[in-house]
Amino acid sequence: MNGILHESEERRGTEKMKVLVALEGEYRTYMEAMAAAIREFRPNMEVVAISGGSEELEAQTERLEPQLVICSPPAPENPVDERLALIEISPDSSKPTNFRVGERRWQSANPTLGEILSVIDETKGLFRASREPGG
Amino acid sequence: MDKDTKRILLVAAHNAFRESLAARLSQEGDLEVAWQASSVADSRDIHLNGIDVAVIDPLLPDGDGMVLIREVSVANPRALALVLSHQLDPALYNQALGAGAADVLPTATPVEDFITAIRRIGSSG
Repeated sequence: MNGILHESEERRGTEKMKVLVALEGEYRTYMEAMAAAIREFRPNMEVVAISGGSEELEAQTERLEPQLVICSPPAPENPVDERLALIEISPDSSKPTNFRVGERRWQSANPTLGEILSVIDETKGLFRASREPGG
Repeated sequence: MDKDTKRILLVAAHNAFRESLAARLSQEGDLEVAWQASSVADSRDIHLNGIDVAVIDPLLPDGDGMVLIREVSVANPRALALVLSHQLDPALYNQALGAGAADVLPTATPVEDFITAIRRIGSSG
């Protein structure tokens, strides 16, 4: 029994959370930097960065099935807004960024990288909980 | 600090973008983001003598970051400015070069090419 539990936990532990960072091509420098920063500070995640429009974002979301999408607003409702968490980051720092983790929604003016990492951590918690038996 | 390490001032209004760029640049052993600023006023509080390269995204909440290009070169003639902007019309390009910027790059630039540009500019100062 213990062996089965151990094996199950190990399997859950190896399943990495996926983060998709998708901004328009005109912000590629910042987008690639953000993906690199997330990889550095949260190394146990799979982070994919893509540049392109909403069609590319929808296609990559369907392909990767990320738990968190970070994209420019407005995010396409389906399939992007169906993910566990969503950050609609405004490239214009004077406009608010929209956050959603599960059912919780809020806005932040000119958020820091730390706020984004905090959302990643919260999403990871939800992701882990969803992998628990009965979760 | 190695004498070949380039010290960078990073000026951009967008906190998450600027901090991400700082984190990415800090992964390079020969580059150090020594200072960050999110406005013209913040930039003026920084001691500019130790800077090799100032990376300036000119759309700042309290003014045009172009003024910082001149201020950086006056405070430290060794320092060079690299303008990083998503608004890349010829007027902005000419304005930046006229103010003394070493180069102007669009934010569409792959981050690896941006890092190469910083090294090139840092070596020419």
